[in-house]
Amino acid sequence: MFPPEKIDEWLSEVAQRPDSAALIIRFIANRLAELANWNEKLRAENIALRSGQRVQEYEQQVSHLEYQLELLKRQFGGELPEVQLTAAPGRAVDPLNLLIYDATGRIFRLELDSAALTDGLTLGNLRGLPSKGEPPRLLVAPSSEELFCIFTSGRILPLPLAAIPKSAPECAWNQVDIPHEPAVNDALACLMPASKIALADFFIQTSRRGFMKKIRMALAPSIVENRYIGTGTKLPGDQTLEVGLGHETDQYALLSRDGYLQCLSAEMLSFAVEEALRLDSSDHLVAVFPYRAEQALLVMTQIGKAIHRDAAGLEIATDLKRRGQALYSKARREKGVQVVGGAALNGDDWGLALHLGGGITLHAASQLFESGTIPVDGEILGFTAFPGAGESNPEQ
Amino acid sequence: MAIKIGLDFGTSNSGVALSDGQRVRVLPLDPQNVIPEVVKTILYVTRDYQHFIGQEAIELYYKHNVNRVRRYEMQWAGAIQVLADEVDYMHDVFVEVDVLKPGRLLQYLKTALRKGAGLGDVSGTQMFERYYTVGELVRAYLSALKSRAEAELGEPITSVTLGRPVKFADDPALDHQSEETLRQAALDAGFAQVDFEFEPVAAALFYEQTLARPENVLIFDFGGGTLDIAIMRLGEPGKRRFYASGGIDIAGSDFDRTIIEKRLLPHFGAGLVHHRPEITDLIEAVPDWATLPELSTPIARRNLDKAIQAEVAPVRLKNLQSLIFDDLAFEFYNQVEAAKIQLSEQAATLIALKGSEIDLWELYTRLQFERDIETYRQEIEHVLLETVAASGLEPAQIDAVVKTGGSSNIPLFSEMLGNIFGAEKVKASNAFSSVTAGLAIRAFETR
Repeated sequence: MFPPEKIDEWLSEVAQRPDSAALIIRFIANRLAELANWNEKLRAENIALRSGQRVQEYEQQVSHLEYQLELLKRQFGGELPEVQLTAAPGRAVDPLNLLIYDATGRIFRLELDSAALTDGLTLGNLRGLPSKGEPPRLLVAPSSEELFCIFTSGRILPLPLAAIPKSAPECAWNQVDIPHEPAVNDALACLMPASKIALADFFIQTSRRGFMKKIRMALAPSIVENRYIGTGTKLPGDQTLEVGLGHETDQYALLSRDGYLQCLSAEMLSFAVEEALRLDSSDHLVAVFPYRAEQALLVMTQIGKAIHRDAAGLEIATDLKRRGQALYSKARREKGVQVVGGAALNGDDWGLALHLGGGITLHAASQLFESGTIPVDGEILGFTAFPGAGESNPEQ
Repeated sequence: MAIKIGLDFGTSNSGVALSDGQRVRVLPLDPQNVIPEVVKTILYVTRDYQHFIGQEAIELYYKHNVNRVRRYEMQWAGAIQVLADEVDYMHDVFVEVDVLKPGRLLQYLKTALRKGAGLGDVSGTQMFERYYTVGELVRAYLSALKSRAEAELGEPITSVTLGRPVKFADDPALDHQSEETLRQAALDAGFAQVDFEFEPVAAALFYEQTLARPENVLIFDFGGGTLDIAIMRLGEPGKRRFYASGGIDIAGSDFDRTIIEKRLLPHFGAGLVHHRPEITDLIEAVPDWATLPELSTPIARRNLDKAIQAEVAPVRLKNLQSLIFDDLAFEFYNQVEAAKIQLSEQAATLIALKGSEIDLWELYTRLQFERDIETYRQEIEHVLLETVAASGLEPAQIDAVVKTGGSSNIPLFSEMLGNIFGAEKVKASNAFSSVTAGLAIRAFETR
């Protein structure tokens, strides 16, 4: 680093201009301090290498990458054919499935026949749905999807969608399969499609009481390895509502049961748990989903009334901890009107509603926008949507 | 109010100043430069014929060219007639053209002017689909400089006093033509009235105003691109006499280059890489700031990767790779220039670049610098003595030596002048802006 001939030149400078000594010594001392610091880091690295700790870390990274590769393979039917990747990136190559699940871990799976979708069609009937407690939730995903079962304890378990037994369109709810039974004092919070984990910027975790946090994708290997993602909650009694994969440019809509809507951008959210929407003590979130400016938001109430908002006209919150905007009047709220779900839709998308009477009904988005209501069997318990033929992203 | 400015259109650097009769204000027209009052005489013309000057031109050139995609296509460039005893045929000539080249960087516009603009010697250049004459290139530069000055002053500028060398060329016809080309370029740039003052006179204007009696003065104008020496008799307005002028193409940019060649190239593998011409070519290109972005090709990256994997000076070559591909060139050349300037004030300085893939640290002293540029000093002393001899005066008959230009601050040259003429005769003018300031004073007097 300091060759002798250079040192001689510096000494000559000092001999000719003795005042320069202080400056030269300061430069060299700073450099030596810097090099000593580096040396320490390198020695620590050397110790880690020799002790095998670094090897272990690399092995973990390799196994995580292999896992991601496996997920991608499953999504593309067990192979990674180059032609499919380049010809239709992100497009579902297999049938969509409707999943209806609840906190006990029960998951009803119904494969959708895309050629037979018509407005108003009843897809199935689930007898004996509970009229009290948390209603079941709905999700549509392709057969090759890899799911994470997220539990309220923060535990996660991988579950390939294809591993969930298909159910008969008409069956009793208490006969539906439970692939992973929650532990004592634990409950299934949500199902998270995870096949695109390698393409996401972060996980985004939302609690029922309106708290949100981002989780760096760098932590994905340890999350998968340890099968634990945390609860993302701050308040006692609060629990995870949703965990999804997000990108920095995403915008999210948060819907509360009492009819409040908050729109925010992902970049506003922090990596610590923060209150994103302030809710009354009796209120809680029922849905969180990303949307794009060209879409429309459709919010479903338990009485079958569909509230429609153009996404482009929605106001993005400038700060967190606000109440959000009311979707309907106080009078209606006092009459007991409640939000059961919502989604961002394009004109050719489809909506799915689960009724208290057990019916599962299919509705064209265009009809929902036009009529603003759907016929109700008892009341609506849950609502979701999935893309029509024109959309490339099957996830909502 | 009509504003008349002084404009120094230099070989390496230019500048604009305004005088109100009381004081001179040199305009800071290049905030990105180490010295904002100095605008590098560099023009960057983009493919859509937008013009950029100064540091902005350099930054844009780097931004456009580092790691850019290249596509070479064969294009017909013309035909050559081949005549021999029994044959007479036309031979098509094709050249490989980078069709994705985003722009062209031009330096030494004044040199092109001096070498005979419009006389068929250096008459212009093809720029994508258009042909630019030297006059048009100078107009583009002056026009951009004028716009910046107007933005700084908040008023339109109507007139200008332009600096010009004592001789553009030895041939009077060529000299006249060069001045006319510069005048026309200034008129085309939007100046309604254009007049000229000799650069050495402008540089000595402050000094001349203080003279009570006529003196023989040597102007030592040592800037970024050239050394210009003029010996004149000043102090009798209207009776100025030029004894001699001379100069040499040695100046600040050569010293920057020397620092890089002698002190910094070893950090990039010089002396450690043998028998690998593809790598040594890359190392040898480092001193040339305008070439470096052109090196950021996939082939160069691959060659460096291979050499690093083969453990041929891997740390040094990683430094080189980072310099070329991590957009560090701009910072690197600025550091070298800043170090050179600092050595006029202090005995030692540091040139350091740090990044995830680069660690360059060089402690550089004034003595090292003086040893490194000793050959240049000898050449300059020779030219200086030759110019004095051509004036017919003895060094003792020179009453004052006025030094100006950034490089004239280098202690080695101050000592040299002191040794030849006597230290008491050496007067320092404003190093970076004395010509510009002098032109502004002349502009005010002739407004």
